[in-house]
Amino acid sequence: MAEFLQFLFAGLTSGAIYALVALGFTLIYSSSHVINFAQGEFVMLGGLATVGLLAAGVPLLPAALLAIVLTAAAGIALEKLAIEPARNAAVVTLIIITIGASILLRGAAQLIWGKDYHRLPAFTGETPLEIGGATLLPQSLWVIGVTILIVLGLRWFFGRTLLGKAVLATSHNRLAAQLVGIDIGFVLLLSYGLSAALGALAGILIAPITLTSYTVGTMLGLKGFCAAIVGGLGSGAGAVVGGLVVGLAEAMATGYVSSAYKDAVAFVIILVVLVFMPSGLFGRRGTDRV
Amino acid sequence: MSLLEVRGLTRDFGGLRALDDLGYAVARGPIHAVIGPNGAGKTTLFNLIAGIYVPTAGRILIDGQDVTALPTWRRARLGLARSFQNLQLFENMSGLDNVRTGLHRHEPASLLGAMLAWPAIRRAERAGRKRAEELLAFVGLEAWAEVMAEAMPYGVLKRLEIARALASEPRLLMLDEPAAGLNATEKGEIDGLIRKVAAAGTTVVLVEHDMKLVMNLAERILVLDHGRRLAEGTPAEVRADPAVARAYLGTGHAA
Amino acid sequence: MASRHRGLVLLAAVVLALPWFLANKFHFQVAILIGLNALVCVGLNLLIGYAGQISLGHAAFFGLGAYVPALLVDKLRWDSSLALAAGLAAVGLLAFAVARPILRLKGHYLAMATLGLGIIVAIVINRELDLTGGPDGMSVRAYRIGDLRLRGEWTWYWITGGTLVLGVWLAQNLIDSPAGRALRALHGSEVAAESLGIDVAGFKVKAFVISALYAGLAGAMTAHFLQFVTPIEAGFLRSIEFVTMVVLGGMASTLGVVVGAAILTLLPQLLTGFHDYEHLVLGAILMGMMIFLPKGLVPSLAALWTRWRAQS
Ligand SMILES: Nc1ncnc2c1ncn2[C@@H]1O[C@H](COP(=O)(O)OP(=O)(O)O)[C@@H](O)[C@H]1O
Ligand SMILES: [Mg+2]
Repeated sequence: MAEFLQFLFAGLTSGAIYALVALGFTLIYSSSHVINFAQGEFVMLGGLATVGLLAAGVPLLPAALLAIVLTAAAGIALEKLAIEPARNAAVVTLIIITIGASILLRGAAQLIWGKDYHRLPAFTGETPLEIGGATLLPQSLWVIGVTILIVLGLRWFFGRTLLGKAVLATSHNRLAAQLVGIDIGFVLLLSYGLSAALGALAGILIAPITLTSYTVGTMLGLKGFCAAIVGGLGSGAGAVVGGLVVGLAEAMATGYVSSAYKDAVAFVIILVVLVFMPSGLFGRRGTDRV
Repeated sequence: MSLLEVRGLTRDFGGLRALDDLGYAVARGPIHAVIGPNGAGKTTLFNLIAGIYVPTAGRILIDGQDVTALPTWRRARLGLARSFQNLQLFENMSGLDNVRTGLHRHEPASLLGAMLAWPAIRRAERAGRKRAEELLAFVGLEAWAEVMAEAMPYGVLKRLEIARALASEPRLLMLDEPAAGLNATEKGEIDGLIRKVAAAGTTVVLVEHDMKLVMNLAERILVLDHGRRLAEGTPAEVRADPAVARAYLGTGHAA
Repeated sequence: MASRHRGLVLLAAVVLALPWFLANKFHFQVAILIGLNALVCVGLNLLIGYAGQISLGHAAFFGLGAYVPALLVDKLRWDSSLALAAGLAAVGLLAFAVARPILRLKGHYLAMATLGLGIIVAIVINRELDLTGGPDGMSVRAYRIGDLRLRGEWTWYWITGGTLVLGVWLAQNLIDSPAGRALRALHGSEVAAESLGIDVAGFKVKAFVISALYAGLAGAMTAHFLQFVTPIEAGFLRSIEFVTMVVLGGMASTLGVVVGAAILTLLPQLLTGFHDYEHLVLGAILMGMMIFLPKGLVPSLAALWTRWRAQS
């Protein structure tokens, strides 16, 4: 039981991180139908920028906020400078553009912060809590708690605010949204900025637990992508469930089977889901019209 | 035996019954038409016959053979060809290559053979090219052979799609609104083209809203409304049917 | 001479002439690696450029093509040619087994599934330390035919050049054939292709297997030439590199992808002087090319050339 709890905590923690990354994917996919392969680099940027600002003497909270703002700016720049000019390009072209962006961001991060691993201090101490024989890091509570707050916040944003509804409308039907006077350009910038901010937040939350370096973005991004697809691309609730499914499965497989193949779990899940449920767990299925 | 027969054909989309327990037979030979208001289920009927939609219930027979379980491409290889209401050309290919693709079911399609440039395949290539050029001429599109489909005007695409379907030498050709969006001259050309095709021995089933065209061309007409058969018969019989007039007046169409 | 062979003759001429311009061993090495990458891309282009199906996992086939024969020779003392055949059979079988379920997917879902497949293979190669040596890689014996050992830049230059020309010839033949048109057709419209009697699912599988075999063969040749292989050759970034070469040079243009392979293989060599900036520059170049020349280098330049000729 204690063992199970231990794996559960680990799974919920990484699941929450994957959910945040997946939400970022989903946001960008909904508004622009682009899969942003640079999403993982936002996670990396958030963590490393905070590390850098801390080293420069900025206290943790302002450093984190500033890092999120900086990463959001990178997201907005990506939309403005790379996605917007290639609006009508084919799916492969867009995929390669965002992959190019991710290589570029990684290169920039390596120049700025070097190749070493960095560590952020835990927000509220390192003394583990004992629960039912298992230990839980206070930082894990931060990860899970903040993720819950973000999910609630996003629900409020999309359900209750005019701006949120504008984003939703754009994702359902861009032309119709334009006709009722929604500024599509602004909605796109907003979703890239917001998505980058979500990634940065995930990177800051997890950095005290797993260390961070210029390379951590790739795997985190891909697993977040798995989570988004498991949830059926474009569904916010799906992204969260997908994140938890991937995180928990990974933790259980690592705990009960073998840790050697930890990184493979997400990809096995994705293959199984795609082969048996080609539109994800939450995706809609329809018959194509001809 | 009918060339095509459907029995109890039904298709639901969510809560909507697009086609409802339809029985319909197409005899070999003349030109047939399916008419009905928008949303009556005409395109759905074509898609079910072609195998693009799976029926909720019912059976489809071609020449007496039950094809309900066959995939689209196998039905096509039995001699079924069609055009699409909202064009499905290969935009990444030239006019000539679009038509040559229509020859597929008569050509050796081995990948390995093609890679090794087997003589049989090179021979088929030469013959196919000639045949496709003839077909382009048949529909009056010689001038468009080397133009990419993505750069062609609408009226040309409509005829190109028919040429591509004809290339497969179908026994049954289904045309979904071939004259929609065309001007009077182009409609005249399509009318002539369909007559030529039928005269050459292909059975044609036509979905069309232009009543003048339908009444002129078709020898038998099926009228659909809300997925059900409203009437069937010769143009004169259909025109005289009060139920047909009511359905059309009800939705604002002029018969 | 059929017009489809004009590009082939040009390629053969370049292969024949190039040695006179290569100054040293290192130049030869780069030329060989360009040829091997190009071989992967010629196959991948059949899948991506012609059939319109993306794969972000082809490095898996490249990696298996490298590792399986190397292991059979190393552990079981198999004859090189037998091991190569077995390696290609393994690659072909894996591709065949996964192709049908995976290629039912479209767009981003297909990208994700192929990516997942590629990463799983790379992880297995990384983790099976006892077999593959793990992340450190393993050394590969020289290819042997009887008592003859294929070694050295000069030998491998001609083997690679010959194989590439052959690979392009096979691909060109396929493109100009009923089967090749079927591939382009299912790219244009799957429903229309099916409605003309084309077995869309079957052709997708065949294109996938053939492109995997090209990658597997190139992988095996790379391993034998370098006499060394690491899991990086099977990794995600390698897959991305292959796709980028295809798109960069020009999708659906066989010569284009050879040019794409040449550029992307050369670029890191040219950037070694700016080692710290390598990724930065590579990323910027990728983005810039895709934004400004989305159709790829060769088709875009060809279009410019046609316009220029029409004007003068
Ligand atoms: N793929 C589909 N998904 C959902 N509904 C469909 C689909 N295809 C057709 N329908 C519905 O079925 C009904 C019949 O459509 P259709 O066969 O296209 O009519 P027609 O061709 O006679 O105008 C319509 O209400 C249409 O909205
Ligand atoms: Mg219709």
